[in-house]
Amino acid sequence: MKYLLLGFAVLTLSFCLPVDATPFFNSKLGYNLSYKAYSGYEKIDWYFPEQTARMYYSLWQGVGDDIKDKSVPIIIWLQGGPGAASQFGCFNEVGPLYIHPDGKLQENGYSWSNRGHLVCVDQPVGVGFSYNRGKPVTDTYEASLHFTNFLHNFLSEWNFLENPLYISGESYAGHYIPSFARFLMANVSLGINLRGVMIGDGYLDPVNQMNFYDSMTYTAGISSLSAREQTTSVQNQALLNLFSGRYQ
Amino acid sequence: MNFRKYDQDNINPNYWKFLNDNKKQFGVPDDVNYVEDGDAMYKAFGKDISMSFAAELEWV
Repeated sequence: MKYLLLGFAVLTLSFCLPVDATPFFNSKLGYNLSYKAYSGYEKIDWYFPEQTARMYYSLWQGVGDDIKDKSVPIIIWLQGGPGAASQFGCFNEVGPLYIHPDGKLQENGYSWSNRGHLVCVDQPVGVGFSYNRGKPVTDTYEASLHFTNFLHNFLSEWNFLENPLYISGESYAGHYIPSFARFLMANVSLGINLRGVMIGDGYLDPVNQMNFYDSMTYTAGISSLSAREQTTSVQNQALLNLFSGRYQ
Repeated sequence: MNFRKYDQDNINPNYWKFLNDNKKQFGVPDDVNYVEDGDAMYKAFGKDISMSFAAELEWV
Protein backbone atom coordinates (compact mmCIF):
# COMPACT_ATOMS: atom_id res chain seq x y z
CA MET A 1 0.00 0.00 0.00
CA LYS A 2 2.87 2.36 0.84
CA TYR A 3 4.36 1.88 -2.66
CA LEU A 4 1.02 2.41 -4.31
CA LEU A 5 0.55 5.73 -2.51
CA LEU A 6 4.09 6.83 -3.41
CA GLY A 7 3.41 6.05 -7.07
CA PHE A 8 0.23 8.10 -7.00
CA ALA A 9 2.09 11.07 -5.48
CA VAL A 10 4.75 10.96 -8.19
CA LEU A 11 2.12 10.84 -10.91
CA THR A 12 0.29 13.80 -9.42
CA LEU A 13 3.42 15.93 -9.19
CA SER A 14 4.81 15.02 -12.61
CA PHE A 15 2.80 17.81 -14.25
CA CYS A 16 2.08 20.90 -12.22
CA LEU A 17 0.30 23.91 -13.62
CA PRO A 18 2.32 27.11 -13.53
CA VAL A 19 1.18 29.71 -11.03
CA ASP A 20 -1.73 31.74 -12.45
CA ALA A 21 -2.68 29.14 -15.07
CA THR A 22 -6.31 28.01 -15.12
CA PRO A 23 -7.68 24.96 -16.94
CA PHE A 24 -10.83 25.97 -18.79
CA PHE A 25 -13.55 24.78 -21.17
CA ASN A 26 -14.73 22.35 -18.64
CA SER A 27 -18.38 21.83 -17.86
CA LYS A 28 -18.65 25.32 -16.35
CA LEU A 29 -18.42 26.86 -19.83
CA GLY A 30 -20.80 24.32 -21.28
CA TYR A 31 -18.28 22.65 -23.54
CA ASN A 32 -16.10 19.61 -23.03
CA LEU A 33 -12.99 19.45 -25.15
CA SER A 34 -11.31 16.15 -25.81
CA TYR A 35 -8.00 17.76 -24.87
CA LYS A 36 -6.77 20.35 -22.38
CA ALA A 37 -6.90 24.12 -22.60
CA TYR A 38 -5.53 26.66 -20.14
CA SER A 39 -5.37 30.37 -19.68
CA GLY A 40 -3.18 32.46 -17.49
CA TYR A 41 -1.04 35.44 -16.81
CA GLU A 42 2.70 35.87 -17.04
CA LYS A 43 4.74 38.42 -15.20
CA ILE A 44 6.69 41.00 -17.18
CA ASP A 45 8.97 41.30 -14.21
CA TRP A 46 12.07 42.62 -15.97
CA TYR A 47 10.17 45.84 -16.65
CA PHE A 48 7.26 45.79 -14.16
CA PRO A 49 8.74 44.37 -10.93
CA GLU A 50 5.68 45.57 -9.01
CA GLN A 51 3.45 43.58 -11.41
CA THR A 52 1.56 46.67 -12.56
CA ALA A 53 1.38 44.96 -15.96
CA ARG A 54 0.88 41.28 -16.84
CA MET A 55 0.38 39.46 -20.12
CA TYR A 56 -2.56 37.11 -20.69
CA TYR A 57 -2.48 33.96 -22.83
CA SER A 58 -4.64 31.01 -23.74
CA LEU A 59 -2.89 27.69 -24.33
CA TRP A 60 -4.59 24.98 -26.38
CA GLN A 61 -2.87 21.64 -26.02
CA GLY A 62 -2.05 20.06 -29.38
CA VAL A 63 -4.64 17.48 -30.41
CA GLY A 64 -3.22 14.07 -29.57
CA ASP A 65 -0.04 15.63 -28.20
CA ASP A 66 1.51 15.06 -24.80
CA ILE A 67 2.12 18.32 -22.95
CA LYS A 68 5.52 16.94 -21.85
CA ASP A 69 6.69 15.94 -25.33
CA LYS A 70 9.62 18.23 -26.28
CA SER A 71 9.19 17.63 -29.98
CA VAL A 72 5.71 19.19 -30.16
CA PRO A 73 5.84 22.65 -31.78
CA ILE A 74 4.73 25.69 -29.79
CA ILE A 75 2.76 27.95 -32.14
CA ILE A 76 2.33 31.51 -30.90
CA TRP A 77 -0.54 33.49 -32.45
CA LEU A 78 -0.44 37.29 -32.46
CA GLN A 79 -3.14 39.66 -33.66
CA GLY A 80 -2.39 43.00 -35.29
CA GLY A 81 -3.92 46.37 -34.62
CA PRO A 82 -1.82 47.77 -33.03
CA GLY A 83 -3.84 46.88 -30.02
CA ALA A 84 -5.96 44.05 -31.41
CA ALA A 85 -6.15 41.25 -28.89
CA SER A 86 -5.06 37.80 -30.01
CA GLN A 87 -8.11 36.13 -28.48
CA PHE A 88 -9.94 37.57 -31.50
CA GLY A 89 -8.02 35.34 -33.90
CA CYS A 90 -8.11 32.54 -31.37
CA PHE A 91 -11.92 32.43 -31.26
CA ASN A 92 -12.61 33.56 -34.84
CA GLU A 93 -9.76 32.23 -36.98
CA VAL A 94 -7.04 29.82 -35.86
CA GLY A 95 -8.25 28.38 -32.56
CA PRO A 96 -10.22 25.18 -32.01
CA LEU A 97 -13.47 26.90 -30.96
CA TYR A 98 -15.69 29.58 -32.46
CA ILE A 99 -17.99 31.66 -30.35
CA HIS A 100 -21.33 32.10 -32.08
CA PRO A 101 -23.29 35.33 -31.58
CA ASP A 102 -25.75 33.37 -29.41
CA GLY A 103 -22.85 32.45 -27.10
CA LYS A 104 -22.68 28.80 -28.17
CA LEU A 105 -19.35 27.20 -29.01
CA GLN A 106 -18.52 25.22 -32.12
CA GLU A 107 -15.38 23.26 -32.95
CA ASN A 108 -13.10 24.39 -35.77
CA GLY A 109 -11.74 21.38 -37.65
CA TYR A 110 -8.94 23.52 -39.08
CA SER A 111 -7.54 24.64 -35.74
CA TRP A 112 -3.81 25.16 -35.62
CA SER A 113 -3.81 23.15 -32.42
CA ASN A 114 -3.96 20.17 -34.79
CA ARG A 115 -0.29 20.95 -35.48
CA GLY A 116 1.06 21.68 -32.01
CA HIS A 117 0.32 23.57 -28.80
CA LEU A 118 -1.36 26.84 -29.80
CA VAL A 119 -0.70 29.88 -27.62
CA CYS A 120 -2.69 33.08 -28.21
CA VAL A 121 -1.08 36.03 -26.45
CA ASP A 122 -2.84 39.34 -25.82
CA GLN A 123 -0.04 41.83 -26.37
CA PRO A 124 1.15 44.53 -25.96
CA VAL A 125 0.13 44.90 -22.34
CA GLY A 126 -3.07 46.92 -22.19
CA VAL A 127 -5.03 44.96 -24.82
CA GLY A 128 -7.41 42.04 -24.41
CA PHE A 129 -7.13 40.63 -20.92
CA SER A 130 -3.51 41.76 -20.57
CA TYR A 131 -3.39 44.76 -18.32
CA ASN A 132 -1.11 47.70 -17.78
CA ARG A 133 -1.70 50.08 -14.91
CA GLY A 134 1.13 52.38 -16.01
CA LYS A 135 1.77 54.43 -19.11
CA PRO A 136 0.81 52.80 -22.41
CA VAL A 137 3.27 50.99 -24.65
CA THR A 138 4.11 53.24 -27.58
CA ASP A 139 6.10 51.23 -30.10
CA THR A 140 7.20 47.86 -31.43
CA TYR A 141 10.58 48.15 -29.71
CA GLU A 142 8.98 48.41 -26.27
CA ALA A 143 6.52 45.65 -27.16
CA SER A 144 9.51 43.48 -28.16
CA LEU A 145 11.13 43.91 -24.75
CA HIS A 146 7.92 42.91 -22.99
CA PHE A 147 7.19 40.00 -25.31
CA THR A 148 10.70 38.57 -24.87
CA ASN A 149 10.18 38.75 -21.11
CA PHE A 150 6.78 37.07 -21.45
CA LEU A 151 8.13 34.33 -23.67
CA HIS A 152 11.02 33.53 -21.38
CA ASN A 153 8.73 33.26 -18.35
CA PHE A 154 6.01 31.34 -20.19
CA LEU A 155 8.31 28.78 -21.82
CA SER A 156 10.25 28.27 -18.60
CA GLU A 157 7.15 27.78 -16.44
CA TRP A 158 5.54 25.35 -18.86
CA ASN A 159 8.86 23.58 -19.46
CA PHE A 160 8.62 24.36 -23.20
CA LEU A 161 12.10 25.90 -23.70
CA GLU A 162 13.31 22.95 -25.76
CA ASN A 163 10.19 22.68 -27.93
CA PRO A 164 10.48 24.14 -31.44
CA LEU A 165 8.90 27.59 -31.38
CA TYR A 166 7.04 29.27 -34.23
CA ILE A 167 5.69 32.82 -33.97
CA SER A 168 2.75 33.60 -36.23
CA GLY A 169 0.32 36.42 -36.73
CA GLU A 170 -1.41 38.75 -39.10
CA SER A 171 -1.70 42.40 -40.06
CA TYR A 172 0.18 44.60 -37.58
CA ALA A 173 1.95 41.46 -36.37
CA GLY A 174 3.97 42.15 -39.53
CA HIS A 175 5.51 44.89 -37.39
CA TYR A 176 5.79 42.83 -34.24
CA ILE A 177 7.06 39.47 -35.46
CA PRO A 178 10.24 40.49 -37.33
CA SER A 179 11.24 42.61 -34.34
CA PHE A 180 10.40 39.88 -31.80
CA ALA A 181 12.36 37.32 -33.82
CA ARG A 182 15.35 39.64 -34.02
CA PHE A 183 15.28 40.10 -30.23
CA LEU A 184 15.22 36.34 -29.68
CA MET A 185 18.01 35.73 -32.16
CA ALA A 186 20.10 38.40 -30.46
CA ASN A 187 19.50 36.78 -27.05
CA VAL A 188 20.26 33.10 -27.65
CA SER A 189 21.41 32.81 -24.04
CA LEU A 190 17.70 32.77 -23.10
CA GLY A 191 17.64 29.26 -24.55
CA ILE A 192 14.50 29.79 -26.64
CA ASN A 193 14.33 27.39 -29.57
CA LEU A 194 12.92 29.74 -32.25
CA ARG A 195 12.54 27.78 -35.47
CA GLY A 196 10.44 30.01 -37.68
CA VAL A 197 7.92 32.80 -38.12
CA MET A 198 4.71 33.03 -40.17
CA ILE A 199 3.14 36.35 -41.17
CA GLY A 200 -0.19 36.68 -42.97
CA ASP A 201 -1.22 39.95 -44.68
CA GLY A 202 1.59 41.60 -42.74
CA TYR A 203 1.66 45.34 -42.23
CA LEU A 204 5.38 45.26 -42.75
CA ASP A 205 6.21 48.29 -44.84
CA PRO A 206 3.19 50.62 -44.65
CA VAL A 207 4.13 53.35 -47.09
CA ASN A 208 5.34 51.05 -49.85
CA GLN A 209 2.55 48.52 -49.34
CA MET A 210 -0.19 51.14 -49.35
CA ASN A 211 1.16 52.82 -52.45
CA PHE A 212 0.86 49.78 -54.69
CA TYR A 213 -2.45 48.06 -53.97
CA ASP A 214 -3.95 49.69 -57.08
CA SER A 215 -1.33 48.52 -59.58
CA MET A 216 -0.79 45.16 -57.85
CA THR A 217 -4.46 44.15 -58.01
CA TYR A 218 -4.88 45.56 -61.53
CA THR A 219 -1.83 43.81 -63.02
CA ALA A 220 -2.84 40.58 -61.27
CA GLY A 221 -6.16 40.84 -63.10
CA ILE A 222 -8.31 40.92 -60.00
CA SER A 223 -9.55 44.51 -60.33
CA SER A 224 -11.03 46.49 -63.22
CA LEU A 225 -9.74 49.86 -64.41
CA SER A 226 -12.49 51.69 -62.52
CA ALA A 227 -11.79 49.64 -59.38
CA ARG A 228 -8.13 50.51 -59.78
CA GLU A 229 -8.95 54.22 -59.89
CA GLN A 230 -11.09 53.84 -56.79
CA THR A 231 -8.26 52.01 -55.02
CA THR A 232 -5.80 54.74 -56.00
CA SER A 233 -8.06 57.32 -54.42
CA VAL A 234 -8.46 55.31 -51.20
CA GLN A 235 -4.76 54.54 -50.86
CA ASN A 236 -3.84 58.18 -51.47
CA GLN A 237 -6.21 59.17 -48.67
CA ALA A 238 -4.70 56.47 -46.44
CA LEU A 239 -1.19 57.79 -47.08
CA LEU A 240 -2.37 61.32 -46.44
CA ASN A 241 -3.86 60.21 -43.12
CA LEU A 242 -0.66 58.39 -42.25
CA PHE A 243 1.52 61.43 -42.88
CA SER A 244 -0.95 63.70 -41.06
CA GLY A 245 -0.99 61.53 -37.93
CA ARG A 246 -4.58 60.27 -38.38
CA TYR A 247 -3.84 56.65 -37.61
CA GLN A 248 -7.17 55.05 -36.68
CA MET B 1 -9.20 21.46 -50.20
CA ASN B 2 -7.75 21.73 -46.72
CA PHE B 3 -8.45 25.42 -46.29
CA ARG B 4 -11.13 27.19 -44.38
CA LYS B 5 -12.76 30.02 -46.29
CA TYR B 6 -12.58 33.25 -44.37
CA ASP B 7 -15.11 35.99 -44.89
CA GLN B 8 -17.05 38.47 -42.85
CA ASP B 9 -19.79 35.95 -42.12
CA ASN B 10 -17.30 33.83 -40.15
CA ILE B 11 -16.47 36.64 -37.79
CA ASN B 12 -18.41 37.19 -34.61
CA PRO B 13 -17.76 40.82 -33.64
CA ASN B 14 -19.30 40.20 -30.23
CA TYR B 15 -17.00 37.34 -29.26
CA TRP B 16 -15.50 39.54 -26.55
CA LYS B 17 -18.81 39.56 -24.67
CA PHE B 18 -18.49 35.82 -24.14
CA LEU B 19 -14.94 36.28 -22.87
CA ASN B 20 -15.95 39.05 -20.49
CA ASP B 21 -19.02 37.19 -19.25
CA ASN B 22 -16.88 34.16 -18.45
CA LYS B 23 -13.72 35.90 -17.34
CA LYS B 24 -13.74 34.18 -13.97
CA GLN B 25 -13.40 30.83 -15.74
CA PHE B 26 -10.34 32.19 -17.54
CA GLY B 27 -8.67 33.29 -14.31
CA VAL B 28 -9.05 37.00 -15.10
CA PRO B 29 -9.18 39.37 -12.10
CA ASP B 30 -12.52 41.09 -11.40
CA ASP B 31 -11.16 44.55 -12.14
CA VAL B 32 -9.80 43.61 -15.60
CA ASN B 33 -12.08 43.86 -18.61
CA TYR B 34 -11.36 42.75 -22.14
CA VAL B 35 -9.99 45.59 -24.29
CA GLU B 36 -10.53 44.61 -27.87
CA ASP B 37 -8.97 47.53 -29.69
CA GLY B 38 -9.30 51.24 -29.67
CA ASP B 39 -8.21 54.78 -30.35
CA ALA B 40 -5.89 54.89 -27.37
CA MET B 41 -3.55 52.25 -28.72
CA TYR B 42 -3.57 53.74 -32.24
CA LYS B 43 -2.67 57.11 -30.81
CA ALA B 44 0.02 55.66 -28.55
CA PHE B 45 1.56 53.82 -31.52
CA GLY B 46 1.32 56.88 -33.79
CA LYS B 47 4.91 57.06 -35.01
CA ASP B 48 5.38 53.29 -35.01
CA ILE B 49 2.52 52.83 -37.48
CA SER B 50 4.39 54.51 -40.33
CA MET B 51 7.65 52.63 -39.70
CA SER B 52 8.85 49.92 -42.06
CA PHE B 53 10.11 46.61 -40.72
CA ALA B 54 11.10 45.24 -44.11
CA ALA B 55 14.77 45.61 -43.24
CA GLU B 56 14.33 43.16 -40.35
CA LEU B 57 13.61 40.34 -42.77
CA GLU B 58 16.12 38.35 -44.72
CA TRP B 59 14.74 37.37 -48.12
CA VAL B 60 15.36 33.74 -49.03
